Amino acid sequence: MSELNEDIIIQDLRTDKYRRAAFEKVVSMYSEKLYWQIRKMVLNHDDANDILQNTFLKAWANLDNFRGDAKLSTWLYRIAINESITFLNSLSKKNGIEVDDPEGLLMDRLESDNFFDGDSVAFKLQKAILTLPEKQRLVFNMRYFDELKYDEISEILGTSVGALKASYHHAAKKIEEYMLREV
Amino acid sequence: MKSLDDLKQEIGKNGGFDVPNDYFENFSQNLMTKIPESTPLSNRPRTTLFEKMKPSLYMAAMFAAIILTLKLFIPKDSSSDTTQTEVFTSYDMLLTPDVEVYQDYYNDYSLTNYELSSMDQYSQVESFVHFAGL
Repeated sequence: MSELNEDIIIQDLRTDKYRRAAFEKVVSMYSEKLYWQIRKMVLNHDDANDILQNTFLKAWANLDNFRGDAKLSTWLYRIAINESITFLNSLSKKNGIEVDDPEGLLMDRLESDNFFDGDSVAFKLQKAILTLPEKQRLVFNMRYFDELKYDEISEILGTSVGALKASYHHAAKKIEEYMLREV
Repeated sequence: MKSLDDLKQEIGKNGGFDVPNDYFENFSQNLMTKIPESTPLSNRPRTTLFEKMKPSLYMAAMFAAIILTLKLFIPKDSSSDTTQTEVFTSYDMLLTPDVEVYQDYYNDYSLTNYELSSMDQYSQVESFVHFAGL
């Protein structure tokens, strides 16, 4: 979205009369991007759908907290990521296991999801991504699949660009090694 | 083995995940039905400056009332206060001899500087007690 468009939408979000219509536009514009980010973290479609809905409901409830310091997309990404992490933490607490356990709960969820095509290469790549720690997994997904710029990721996660580059480099190396072993 | 870039070409940006048909087309409509009709900003009660200042004003009024009450009910006895202060001052002077203060007293009794300097501190105190009639 261009800066001008974003400015108009933000202005409308602050006006009683146009707020609802402007928010509907925001939902249409960002739902797909946010969905894929959430889905790659929680793996299951139904959970990703719930988290995406919560993300927008929270955004709506906290519209007056959005001051326009960051981009609208950055703000929404932050809410979506926080919601995903909260969900994963609650899931691991329920099951009494570590979130980062690659052979554990997340792998089962990946295998049992009806909307994962189970293609052998895709499955192996997702298994490889699951070997990464949570934060590295986030960075890798954002950079590799969503092709977000390091500056944008830095704003969303509050981590320096240098640290993100190093994190992505390590993640990519680990995944390549895993794929070499498995293929 | 294929490079990561080649893998992405093969698998796609969605990483092998899929969604039900028309999911994104319907998502926005479904979500808007769940969002409350009343907006969060217009629901927020608008607070006036007076409302915001109320606690501070109450506090100030309370302190003012306490001070006024104290002034009204505690009578001021200025004469007894002065006498007490004077007595305490003289008594303190005896307990803590201060040469300069005594010199002022001796000057009143027309002693010369030479006479004053020849007196040690102890005798100055004794003389002062004598002259003061204590």
